[in-house]
Amino acid sequence: MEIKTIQLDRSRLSSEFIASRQNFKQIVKCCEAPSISPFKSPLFFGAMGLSSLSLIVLLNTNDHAQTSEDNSPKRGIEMR
Amino acid sequence: MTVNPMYHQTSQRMEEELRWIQSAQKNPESFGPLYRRYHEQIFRYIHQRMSDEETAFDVTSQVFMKALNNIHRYEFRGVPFSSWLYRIAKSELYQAFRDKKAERTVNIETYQLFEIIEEFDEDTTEANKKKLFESLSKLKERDMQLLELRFFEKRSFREIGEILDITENNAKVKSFRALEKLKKIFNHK
Repeated sequence: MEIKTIQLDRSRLSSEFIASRQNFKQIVKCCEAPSISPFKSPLFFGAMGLSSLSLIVLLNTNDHAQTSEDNSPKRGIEMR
Repeated sequence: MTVNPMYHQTSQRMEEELRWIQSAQKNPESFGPLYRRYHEQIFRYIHQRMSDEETAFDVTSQVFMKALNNIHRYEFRGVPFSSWLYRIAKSELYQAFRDKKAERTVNIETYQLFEIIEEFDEDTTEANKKKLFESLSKLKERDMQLLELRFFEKRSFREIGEILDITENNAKVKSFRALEKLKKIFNHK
């Protein structure tokens, strides 16, 4: 960091002038929680995660049930 | 050397401040009293280190926006809230210099130059004033920073330590070393 200038006896700003430049509304406005995109919210990921998981479980269960059905000996037909 | 007493607060004032902080952590609107209490101090700290008044007001606003955005992370450690604000201010200030929004400037009063000349046990003549002025421009930023805080702004070592995130003792040692360096440059001129 280079020190560019050294100023001697610069006029001091009054407290009243500095106070007149306060703008608390602007500070609060800028800091209001920005609306988080639904795709970035943890709720979205939670819901998506849960539904994906249940879908996988459901598909697996269905698939498993179907496979066991296919492998089970067919009743009523006798092979000779 | 007299030290600016503004930083060192009574326990009552600190408790009041803590209540404001806790309230602001729940509702940003409650940050108002803290903003009003520290706006001038933070502005003066920033303006003291740059030439442009408008940029100083802008950087001050950024400091308070950042503080309000991060107030939920603030943890009370028994030191005034201002030490946290000063650390944000320091970081925003150097960011403004890096982004070339402002130029690093050192602002000094003549009487402060004479005070330093007296510390060096030299006569407070115009020639010595000029010599010291030239010596200051040869000082490195980190030393200048300490001299500004200690000798131009009359801050206590405890406050300097909290602003620079170093111990009180380290602030004391570093401030005197910075003054020694300035004296060395002054005597070689």
